[in-house]
Amino acid sequence: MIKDIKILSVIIIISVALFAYTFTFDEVPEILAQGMQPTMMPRLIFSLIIFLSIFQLIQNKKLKAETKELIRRNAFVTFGYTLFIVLIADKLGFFISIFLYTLLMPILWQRKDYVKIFLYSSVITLFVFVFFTLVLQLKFPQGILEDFIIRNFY
Amino acid sequence: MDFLSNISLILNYTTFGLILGSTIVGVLIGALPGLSSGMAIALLLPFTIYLEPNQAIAAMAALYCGGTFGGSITAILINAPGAPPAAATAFDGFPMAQKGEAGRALGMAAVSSVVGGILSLIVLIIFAPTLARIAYKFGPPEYFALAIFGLSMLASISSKSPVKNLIGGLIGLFVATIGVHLTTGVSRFTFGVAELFEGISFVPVLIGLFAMSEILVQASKSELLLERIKFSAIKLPSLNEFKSCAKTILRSSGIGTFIGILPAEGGTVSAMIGYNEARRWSKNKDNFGKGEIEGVAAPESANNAATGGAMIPTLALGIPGSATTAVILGGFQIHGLRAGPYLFEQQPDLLYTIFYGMLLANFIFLIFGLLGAKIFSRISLIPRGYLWPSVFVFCLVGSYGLSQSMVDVYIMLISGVVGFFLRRYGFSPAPIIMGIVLGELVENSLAQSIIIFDQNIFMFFTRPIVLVFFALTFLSLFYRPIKNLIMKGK
Repeated sequence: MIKDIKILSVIIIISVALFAYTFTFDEVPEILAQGMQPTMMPRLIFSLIIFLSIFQLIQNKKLKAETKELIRRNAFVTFGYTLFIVLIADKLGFFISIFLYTLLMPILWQRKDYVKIFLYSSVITLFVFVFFTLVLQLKFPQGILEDFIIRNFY
Repeated sequence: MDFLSNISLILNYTTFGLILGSTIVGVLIGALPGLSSGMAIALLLPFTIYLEPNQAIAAMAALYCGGTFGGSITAILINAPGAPPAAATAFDGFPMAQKGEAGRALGMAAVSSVVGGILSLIVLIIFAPTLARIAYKFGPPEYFALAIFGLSMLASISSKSPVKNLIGGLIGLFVATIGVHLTTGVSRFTFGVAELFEGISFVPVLIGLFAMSEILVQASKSELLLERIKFSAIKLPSLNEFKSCAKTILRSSGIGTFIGILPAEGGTVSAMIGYNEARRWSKNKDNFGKGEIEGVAAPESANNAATGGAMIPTLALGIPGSATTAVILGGFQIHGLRAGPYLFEQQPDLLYTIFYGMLLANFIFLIFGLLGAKIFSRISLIPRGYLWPSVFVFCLVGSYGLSQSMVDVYIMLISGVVGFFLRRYGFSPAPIIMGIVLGELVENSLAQSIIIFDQNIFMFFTRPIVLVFFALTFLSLFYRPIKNLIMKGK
């Protein structure tokens, strides 16, 4: 298999799809567009990306694809758990989400010192709450803790 | 510039404290393998909104200086460069440490970094206003040509794949087109999502590409067992050693400053070229790679000199000199500032604060780098299981913080995944960031040029400065293929 054929093919396919998508943009009268339709720049960009990707494929045609190391299970687990935390952060609140993330993630990354993990998780959550919410006055989604926080800290 | 009389700008507790703190944070972060000064600035960018613009930008510049030096500590002590610019430092720094000369190597790294940093700042102070004065004559066609030149320089960032860097830059340009087109009001790539009408916010993309993608990269790695070299005390290079390295330091500082000035080229390229040139000119070239002190002095003076050099096009033209200065330009945007020649006329205080901030940062990391190297090296031994979840907390808080919108958090996460896969296939996040930063300038200056030229694009070739930039663009794109062709012919 030619080197980088997978990633370059994906880039070409996405660029072609997005190039085609520019045809759905509204047409603008020439007087308003002043010589440059809103589609011009994206089309120019995608044309160049497609051209360069094909050029790279031609350059690589004699090079064999390197065998890439498989993505470790831990990367999928990390991403899955991160995605889960981001999705629940709005409803559950940032502080509980951060606590859960920092509590479980070290364990998923093979840490076994549970007391230290609990302390670490508590300190990080407390730091975010004190520094960002109380000092910098950033308002994060507080989720199920909203009443408690409003009653006691505002 | 009335340079000396403006020192009072940093002589107040807040600004001084911020510069001090940022430099130390920079050294700490620079020392951590995987965390770079660019990433640190990206993560802290949303919170600088609480600071005065002068203080915020000076703090970022100081962090940039500290972070560039910090990478050398772990490069020397554990053979794990904290940041890419310090990679060349490890070639001779670690063998020196293995021979029990860690203190000598760290001492030389600190001193040569400061010399490189200060020399490049002198060039910055002299050259940036001159460049800005020239840039006053620039109209939209010149800015368009300059931005294209900046993007074309991506081809030479890394010797691995110039084409991939260019594709990365174009991906960045595409991201910059998302949102409602300002002139015509047409929605582009918003897919009906109202939050995208104003375009994709720069900060979450930055955090995603730099930090989130690195978390996923780190998740794929097994736990590294790093052996820390023991050393009793930092010993400054002797006067004789310093004398023997003086030429190397000066040459590398010149190389670093010059490469830093070139758009898109940063500390990593400077350090590599500085190291190679030092080996080429050295009397002890056979000792390189085995623990030669010149092999530490050269990359360290070059990569720190690149910080001052990279700030020259950033401040004078608004064209980033490196990936980190592209992030700093994002900081300008957040604070409603626009880097470029008018900055010198309208915001002189800001410039003085940046200059002094960087100058001060150099002295701070000399002192703290020498006194605290032992502690900083311990930082690198923080277990990954604690380090990277903490980085994610900053990603989450930072991407949400600026606009207080969950959409930005989703954008950060998507950028992280895209960045992870692109990095896996040899694409670097730096060109994408450069593309995003330059996107608006490219499109707007092209649109304005088309109006000026009454839609005749051949008029570009009637402007001398444009022609110079186009010639430079041609050279940066085709220099290597032409050179290869000539070499084949021989």
